[in-house]
Amino acid sequence: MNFISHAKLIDQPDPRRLDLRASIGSLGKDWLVRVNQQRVAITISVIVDVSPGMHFHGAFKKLEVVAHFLEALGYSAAALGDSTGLYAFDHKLRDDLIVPARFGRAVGLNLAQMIRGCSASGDSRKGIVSESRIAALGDCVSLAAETSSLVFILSDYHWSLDGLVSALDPLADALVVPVVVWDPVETEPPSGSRLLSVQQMGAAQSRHLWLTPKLKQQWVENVEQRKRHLSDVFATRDIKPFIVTNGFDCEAMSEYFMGLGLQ
Amino acid sequence: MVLLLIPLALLPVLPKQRDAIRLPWIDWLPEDDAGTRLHVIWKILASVTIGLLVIGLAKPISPAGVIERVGRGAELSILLDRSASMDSQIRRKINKDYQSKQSTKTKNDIAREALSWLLNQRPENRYALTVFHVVAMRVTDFIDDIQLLQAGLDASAIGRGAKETNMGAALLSAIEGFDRRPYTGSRALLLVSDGGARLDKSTRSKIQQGLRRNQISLYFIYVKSGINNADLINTDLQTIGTNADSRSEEVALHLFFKGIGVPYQVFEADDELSMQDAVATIDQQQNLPLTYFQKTPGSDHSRLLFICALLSVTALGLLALVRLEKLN
Repeated sequence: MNFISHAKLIDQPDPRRLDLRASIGSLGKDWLVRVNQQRVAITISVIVDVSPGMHFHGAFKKLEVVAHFLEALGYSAAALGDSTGLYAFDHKLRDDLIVPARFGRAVGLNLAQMIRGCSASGDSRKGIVSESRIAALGDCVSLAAETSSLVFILSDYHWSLDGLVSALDPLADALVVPVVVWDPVETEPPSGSRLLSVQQMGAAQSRHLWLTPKLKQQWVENVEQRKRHLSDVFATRDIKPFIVTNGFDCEAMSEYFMGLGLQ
Repeated sequence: MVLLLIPLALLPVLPKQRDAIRLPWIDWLPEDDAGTRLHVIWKILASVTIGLLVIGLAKPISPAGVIERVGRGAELSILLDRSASMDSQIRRKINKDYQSKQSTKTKNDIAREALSWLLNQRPENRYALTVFHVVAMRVTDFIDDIQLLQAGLDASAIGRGAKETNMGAALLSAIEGFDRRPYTGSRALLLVSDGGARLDKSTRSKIQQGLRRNQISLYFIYVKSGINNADLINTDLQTIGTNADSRSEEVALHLFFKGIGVPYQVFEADDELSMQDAVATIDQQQNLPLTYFQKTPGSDHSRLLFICALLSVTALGLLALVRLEKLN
């Protein structure tokens, strides 16, 4: 049992853990209880989307952001004795990017290295339909669900979200953290009134915009709407997505977990 | 061969765009009609530019045309004697002792000047120019390019001709010039010479047939060398007879021409004035309506195409100025 912090008695109503000394010293004159944590090694699984869209290089390389996350996670997991595994998918399960959960100091670095060096598979360039993505994610989830207590799913979620929640069913016992990796280049319209021609990576769809202030406003609103939609979809399973738009930030991740009340 | 590259013009309209910015997700980008329209213009301009350049490089030339022109005048074949005797000066009388030496001109100079006057007076005539001495040299076929004819006339003043003259071959050569030409107006053969010729029987028959077949009027400007030459105009036929073989060569020629049966007129010129009179008379007689066909050269349209391509590229450049090439 490790002491973690003090909490108000009203928040943690367990009088057996009252800390009188701390309560006397508290500025708010609150009754404080000790919050302890029992140290248990868990298995963490990271599911990474390596579809063409994730190979996008805007202000950041999306897969580089994922690699940073894996390094930080590996460091943290090694410190706490947790084992970490990796599963990747694009339009199908990527057999070459599967690492069963294991414990070690260099696990995070190794996984990051694998993700940095991975290539978009040949078939995935033809355009990926959402159904096959969901199916591939389902395969990853099935593999991870056997042992994992904490599952991170890193993707840009640039696909139809229908069927996503049901694909997460096997992870009912685990804590699922969807990490949404976006880039400022795709979420923030460029400045100035300019003609913009864009084509979707891995697909033939294209769109042409004359960037008026109204159109830019619409662009920003659409991004916000997508965020809300993602939150709503995950909220049905009491899951809160962690959205990364400016590179991976460890502090933000800590705050995210603090927000979940799991510190 | 260059036209084989024309499919390149389809490159800009292919669905896969190499110049578009690639984003992982475009569904959250709003639809925009103005942008789509500008993009269509961009594509069409690019396509048209490539097309114009390829067609321009292929050098399209419209086919040469023929236009019918109606003018006044005649088809006049000038047959100019260029033998050595034409380089001699005209001497009408011997200067007296007290008279200053007059500047004199060669027969060729006088003939050329008179003919130049005719060319400039009647530029709408169609002229053919043949000079001859031993052989006939066709300078030009029937054309109305006065400058070219003038250059041909000027060239006849250079150097000295051969001593011999082959009048028969020259006449036949000039008559040949009329062969296989549509009859579009009055035709005349203008022979300028300072001498005659005794033609053999077969040549005479060929000349006669040729002139008749082609309906050619004949003018003979006889450039007199001196006071002792035969007077063809005022010669009483009775006195010289009708035998073409008789007397001097020029009389023989004159009698032969007279007997051919085509309109024939002889002029005698012994100075600039009489030469010009002769030419002016011929000009008056031959100033009739004339229909002729003029070839128009094919025109090369590549320059126009390149100018259009330049305009198109300029428009593309203006669009490129406002077009985003990258987002970050």
